[in-house]
Amino acid sequence: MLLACRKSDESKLGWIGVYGKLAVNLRLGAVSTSIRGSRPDRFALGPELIFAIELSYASPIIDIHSHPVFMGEGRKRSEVNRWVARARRFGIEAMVALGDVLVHGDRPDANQIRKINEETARIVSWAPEFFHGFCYLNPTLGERAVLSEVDRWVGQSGFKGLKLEIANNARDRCMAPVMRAAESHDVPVLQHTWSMTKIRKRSQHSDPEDTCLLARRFPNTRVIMAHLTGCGYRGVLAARGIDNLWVDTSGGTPEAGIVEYAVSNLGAKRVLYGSDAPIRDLPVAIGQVAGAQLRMSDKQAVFYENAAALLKLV
Amino acid sequence: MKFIDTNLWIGNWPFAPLSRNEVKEVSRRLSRFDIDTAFVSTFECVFQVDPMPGNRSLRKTVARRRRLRALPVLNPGVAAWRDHLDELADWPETKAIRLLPGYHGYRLDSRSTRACVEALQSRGIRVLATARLIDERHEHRAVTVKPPALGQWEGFLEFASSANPLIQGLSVHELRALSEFGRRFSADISFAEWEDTLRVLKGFMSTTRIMFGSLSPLQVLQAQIDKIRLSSLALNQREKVANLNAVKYFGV
Repeated sequence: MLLACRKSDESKLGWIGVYGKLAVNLRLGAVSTSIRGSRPDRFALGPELIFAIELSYASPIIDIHSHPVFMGEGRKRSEVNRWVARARRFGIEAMVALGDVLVHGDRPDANQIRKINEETARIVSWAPEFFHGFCYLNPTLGERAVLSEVDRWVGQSGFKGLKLEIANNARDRCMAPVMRAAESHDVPVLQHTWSMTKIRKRSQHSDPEDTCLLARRFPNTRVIMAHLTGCGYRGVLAARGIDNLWVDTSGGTPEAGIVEYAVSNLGAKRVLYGSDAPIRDLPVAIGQVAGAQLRMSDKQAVFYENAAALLKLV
Repeated sequence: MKFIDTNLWIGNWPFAPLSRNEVKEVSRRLSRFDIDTAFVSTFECVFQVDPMPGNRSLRKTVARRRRLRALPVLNPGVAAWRDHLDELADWPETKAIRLLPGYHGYRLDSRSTRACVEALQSRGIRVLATARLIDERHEHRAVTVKPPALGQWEGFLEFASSANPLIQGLSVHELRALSEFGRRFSADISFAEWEDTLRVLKGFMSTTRIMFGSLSPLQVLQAQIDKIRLSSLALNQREKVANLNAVKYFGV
């Protein structure tokens, strides 16, 4: 089997498929002794196999943060199929589709919100075993508009969470109906978050401290603070000790050290793998976690277990 | 797949709790990821006006390391840059020089930068210009460095494109905009990222002008390697980016 791999073009899907079988074997312990005892970094087939082995310990993967359609690109079914195939190639078994959240600017109106969510629903319907939709909201539109969208997409269509971008700051009063709706439907809220140290647009953008305050104000609602790299070390420290808060690894270049720092400060159970694709490259986003100096059990939690529990997939 | 890393750093970065990054650890990392050759600069040169003490200590440090090639930094913003260049050009191993306009506070389209590039070109030394080391949106409060604006890069390429400079640390958007300017340059992938990065870059620039640059230890080496290794481009295209273009560019 390994020789067959070596001869094939490594860009083909079969590679990861074969690795997938290896992964199963590893988990069952069938070849665990030889692999673990042979120092994966010196293994004969080189880095391609290292990647597979590292993923195999941690796989499968749930990507908690993606935008299959972004700024109008990627709407066609063929494009979505290609997206799913490429994600699966890297061991991604499920993906949260967050919608084309910036296509109508920072503060979309009710019609625009509706269209974005309809598009997410269409994409989910094309690969329902792969995609989980989150309902995009603009909290500044008021309670009635928020509840209407949440009822339609979460209550009736099975979306698994709520997505908030940069319509307002997470501290604002208009967040209350969103958080109460999330609590009543028992779904998490994913809040775009980025350190405003240099950007200075805090009236609409949420600092990690803002998102953490939101989670503290609504302790019965689960909050995902997006973009670990953008939240930075200060954001990780702000998130300590908040039982209803998770942070995702999406967004930003694969800066070294930040994933380890988050796991060390928050515990592996509080960190979720996310890519922010297509703004980020899937293997790069995976590589940031796979290449982090973490225990394999922690990588598994980050890549899969935490998201599976949060989305109630297990 | 073998790699040549055009953007590697040694020493300690003061703003992040990174693991040790001395020559021993760096060499081990390179070996693990099949990086055959790496052009390395030292962080010591980033924060000091005079980069020469850092360049000299780097030269000693990597002298007997097969995989590591010293990539000295030159600061055309200081009056003594010609003396520094004379010294660096006397080092037989000098293949290229790195410019850090943001951290050293000079304009890329300035007269001194132009003179510097012409001097390098006349000596057959390659020019590498680094846009950024960290995403400026969340760089440490103590650092107010911004990468040169697009207009500066255009001004730089007006006189530097004949030297085919290797520009490092630009985003996909910046590279696309600069490509539209129509001047010749090469680029690394350290900050360029979009889903299936290489395929996106190939949409507006030839893969013969793209090189691997990890920006390790600031970025996760495995992630940067996988940007190339797991791209959907054909193997021969990925190998160009991974190593063949750098072999040609640096003559190694």
